[in-house]
Amino acid sequence: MSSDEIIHQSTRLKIMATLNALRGNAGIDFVELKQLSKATDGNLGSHLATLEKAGYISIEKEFVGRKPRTRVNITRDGRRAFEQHVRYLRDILEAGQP
Amino acid sequence: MTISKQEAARVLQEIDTAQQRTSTMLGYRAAAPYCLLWGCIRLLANLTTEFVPALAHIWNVLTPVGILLSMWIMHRQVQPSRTGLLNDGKASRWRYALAWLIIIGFITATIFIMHPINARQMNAFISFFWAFLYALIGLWTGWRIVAIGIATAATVLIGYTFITAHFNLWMALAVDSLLILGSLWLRKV
Repeated sequence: MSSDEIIHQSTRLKIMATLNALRGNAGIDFVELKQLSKATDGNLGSHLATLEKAGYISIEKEFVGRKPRTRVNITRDGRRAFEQHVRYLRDILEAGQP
Repeated sequence: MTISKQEAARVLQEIDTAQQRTSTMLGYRAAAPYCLLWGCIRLLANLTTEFVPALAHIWNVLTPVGILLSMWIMHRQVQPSRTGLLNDGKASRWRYALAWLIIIGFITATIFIMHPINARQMNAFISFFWAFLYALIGLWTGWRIVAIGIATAATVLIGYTFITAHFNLWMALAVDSLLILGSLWLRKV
């Protein structure tokens, strides 16, 4: 097993950890995700684009009345990749690998 | 990419922290509508009782309305929905419905045993019950809910101890407003 360099980046890690904590098909608004991951608008957008390109998240844009709203969901592949990365990290701790 | 043991430990801690923050946010989002609903219902009932005592029976109307609306909120929250709130499915809905019955049963049984109690005591008792329940739930959900529970209980205690006349007005302005403001606080991540 190897680490996932896309997920391992600090902000992307927080994003994936946040999305992984949601149940089922639940998503989260861009604004909430920004607050939870402590990222700026541009920074978050860039990292979301990377994760979407990797197939780890999906992004839906819609209008609620006149206000645009962006929702982010983790995909099945994303959840699997995140869990594998966590297992990899735990294996390092248990094996005492330098 | 080689990751050291120290870095792996640090990253796992960051993951735990991020997930805990998310769980706390979801808990606050779930609790906020109930605080707002009951803050508004109680505010209306307390102000009516204070200024139009002949309509004090409004509690008998607003309380069942509040319970039904609470069940509706719960029903929406446990839908397999897009919100991430409590979507455990049908089993959860039954649990929440039964939880309401248990709560109503407890309050009814206590009032029956403690009878006779006057309106002021009943108002204070039910307010204490919910305040301490919030504080208890907050131990698992997040400290803001603990804070709302304790602040509410303290405010009820102050009113019950020192405010003999206009107790309902105190409850409306101090306790119920606290619940409403608390609900807004819970909605801010």
